[in-house]
Amino acid sequence: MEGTTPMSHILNPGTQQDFHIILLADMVKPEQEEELQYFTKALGPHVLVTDKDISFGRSFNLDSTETAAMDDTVVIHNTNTYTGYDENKMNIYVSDASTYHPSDLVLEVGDHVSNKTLKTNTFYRRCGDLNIAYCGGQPTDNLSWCLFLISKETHKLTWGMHSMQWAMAPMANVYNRELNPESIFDYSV
Amino acid sequence: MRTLVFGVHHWGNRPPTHEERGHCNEWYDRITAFVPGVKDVFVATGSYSNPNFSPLPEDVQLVQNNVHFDAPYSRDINYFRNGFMTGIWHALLNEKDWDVLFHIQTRVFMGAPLTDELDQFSTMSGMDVMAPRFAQKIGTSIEISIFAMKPEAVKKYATSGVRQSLNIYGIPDVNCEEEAFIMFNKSWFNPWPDVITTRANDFMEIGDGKFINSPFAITNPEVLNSLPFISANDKHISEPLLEGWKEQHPCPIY
Repeated sequence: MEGTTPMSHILNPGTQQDFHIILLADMVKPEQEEELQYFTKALGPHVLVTDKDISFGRSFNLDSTETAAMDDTVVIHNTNTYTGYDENKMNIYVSDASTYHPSDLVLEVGDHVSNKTLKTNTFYRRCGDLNIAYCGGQPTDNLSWCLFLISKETHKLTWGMHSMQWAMAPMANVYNRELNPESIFDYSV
Repeated sequence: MRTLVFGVHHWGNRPPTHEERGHCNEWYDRITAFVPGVKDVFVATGSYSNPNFSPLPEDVQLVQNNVHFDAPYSRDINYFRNGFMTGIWHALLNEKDWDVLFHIQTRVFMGAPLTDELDQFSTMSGMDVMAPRFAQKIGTSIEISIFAMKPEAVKKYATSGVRQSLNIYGIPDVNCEEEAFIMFNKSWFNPWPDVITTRANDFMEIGDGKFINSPFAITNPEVLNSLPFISANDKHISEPLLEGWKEQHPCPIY
């Protein structure tokens, strides 16, 4: 999991300094690998989560048998790596089977996820005590990706973007807790 | 090449300030300086605007759609869309003998010649529009502030049966920027792959009166100064940063 993270030339400089940056690209088609390479280089995420074996400093394959830790405070798990919730860390759980473990954020992947997105009309929702982001396959020829920013100071999820987010008008309110009390994003300092 | 350039602007019945006149003059001067083959520059108003109070130079034709600004701007009532569609239809109905219709939003200043890009675009087959690929890179902030269209693209935009604004496929009230992406995703020539936004500031309200800047906003002056065009709107850039960009991209006719 160790390696050098390239600097982003797309995100503004403070972002790399203040946030853990996670890029997730699920169901990457062979013809999309070049786009993923370019996009990863341009964004410079701290960790790339993907189903492809992509040459990148720190990547977390969806079949990984190791967790991915960032500063030992933010940890990414999947079914193979989950050993239990540690309240001293921010636990992110990547799932393709709707079998959620206690965690601070669930990144749901897989082809079935697009149906959930259409049904709920959002990419981000609270379900009981869980914050869930739907990151799975989308009906597009372009690379489908999600970007998450986690504050290094508060260890809260402060920003998320989905490549298809533009197609969801209500998404304009996803970050605003006054308009959307169920927002999974937290800007508190 | 014969290029039509248009912007969308509206000012209602309000006299322009000195600064607005200066901004609109510079918008026009930079277009004529940097865009090759400009045949005509016009502004389509998003809502009816008193021509006696136009902040634009006299050489800029005004095209009015007579929609009145009688409700606040919203996702459903979109005065930019009104103006953009007015410009599209004006080009189709009233303008003759042109090769490219180029929308350059009135908040955007050009800063470098586009000769090579437009030459390449005009000779490419299968490419209907030329624009930075903002779409699908930044999620919520798709822009068509710089958007060149061949005649076939203009016709398609105006008449396409898949216009998402009709909401026939269940996608709710998408903006014209999103329509453009849906229509031209596969025929989109982007000569500026590293340009993601024209904005140095892109603040969004997150509630409780607080605003946050997008992580994609270009806050690094070096990167900002390398942009061939920029949003000069005071919401999108501070005066010192804009002055710094202008020093790197002076308007040659000044």
